[in-house]
Amino acid sequence: MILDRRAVSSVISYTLLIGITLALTTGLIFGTGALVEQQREGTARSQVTVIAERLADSVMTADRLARGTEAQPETVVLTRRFPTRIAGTGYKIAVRTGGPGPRIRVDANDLDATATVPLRVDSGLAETRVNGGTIRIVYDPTASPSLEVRNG
Amino acid sequence: MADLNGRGQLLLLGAFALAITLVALTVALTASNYTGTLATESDEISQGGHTIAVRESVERDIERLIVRANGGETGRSPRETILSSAVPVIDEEVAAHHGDDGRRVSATLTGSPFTPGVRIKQTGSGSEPFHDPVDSDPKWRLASSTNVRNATFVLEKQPSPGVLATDPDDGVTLVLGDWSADTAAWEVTLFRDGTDWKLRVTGPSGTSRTCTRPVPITGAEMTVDIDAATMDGDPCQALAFLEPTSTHDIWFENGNAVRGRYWLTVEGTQSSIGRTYSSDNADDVLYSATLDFRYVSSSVIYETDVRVVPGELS
Repeated sequence: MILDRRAVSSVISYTLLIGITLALTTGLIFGTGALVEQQREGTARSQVTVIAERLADSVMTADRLARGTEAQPETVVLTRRFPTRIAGTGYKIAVRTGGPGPRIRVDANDLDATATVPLRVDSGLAETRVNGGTIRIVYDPTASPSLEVRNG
Repeated sequence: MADLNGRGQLLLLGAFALAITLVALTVALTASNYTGTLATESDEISQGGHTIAVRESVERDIERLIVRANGGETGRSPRETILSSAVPVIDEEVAAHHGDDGRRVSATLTGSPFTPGVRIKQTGSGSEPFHDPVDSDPKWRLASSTNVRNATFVLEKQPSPGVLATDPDDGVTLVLGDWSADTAAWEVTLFRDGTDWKLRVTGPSGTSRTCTRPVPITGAEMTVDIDAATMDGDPCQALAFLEPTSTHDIWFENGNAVRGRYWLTVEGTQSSIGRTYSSDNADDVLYSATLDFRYVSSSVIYETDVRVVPGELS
């Protein structure tokens, strides 16, 4: 016991213990925090891309339905159910027709995640901006432009 | 004890931070997994592709019915009766086959669904020029202000060549245009060039396309199916170029420069097309039928009229 107590100071032991615990905790928080953030942004990027592509597909299908017959359809409504939040944040969907042509752009609100998908449609397409969630693509032959993306 | 409590709180703080981090990681990973599900899910039905497939299937069924009715009956009224009795059967089949998972699909005839047509023909066993059946005029009007479908020429190849002209200006020509002004919007001309037969399609802008077929040694006939865009059974890109978008007067020029048979169906009645034919040269048929097609599901609402015209040139 006497040998065991040589060169041992309870103050130093305690300080070392606190220091090591602090260092480990801080490293854990910063390390995993960065990992989580990286994973979150990657996920958000994947999600906006998938949502933009799926929505573009639906808009072009609505256009095909609207233009596929000689007579103008009375009703064409496609409803798509997308998540209201992606990677823990909301997102916006914009339909744009100017510049390089019709396209859909999906932006995550708080993250650096954006996807743009071009559209090929023959019907007139309304410029709109909607929130994520349930989306309706509506063709109205009496309206101009006749094809519009709306929140469901 | 105070020292031990302080150390325990630090450990507790670290454990709490780790728990929060794990929760956040779980949220991110779950969202990532959902993205994969969203990207790979097979949702042809919710995307609307199924709607188009069902509509096209109904159109094909009605097309076959019109062709069968026009081929198997005499007179327009019995042909309409065939379609009127067969379409409800198609409607039932479509509803039963595609109406699961809460979907409602229907195809019905409403109002005045049938458009009359006249099949103008020279289909006797003998091989004749394509001239006026009444006065043998080589330039003659078949119909006025109408649409046309199922135009087919069957040209004799042997013993004498069915296409006689070697100059395109003298070749037999089916013209879609304005008869009174003698101006053509579209022309389909057949002529001979050495041992080849050529078919030339000229559009409203004067642009023309030509396809060439050597006259085969065997076989007595060559079929030009204008709607199917084939010549002797092979694709003819020049015919695919033919796309009239409005009604026209229809006439033949240089009808004596060919031997064979022909038939085509124009929209309207003999009085509306401005020409009365004998029963040898025309049948009263159905030109088209219009359906009320509805497809309603949780993700797609589609209601439209579908006009079915087998083989229309457009």
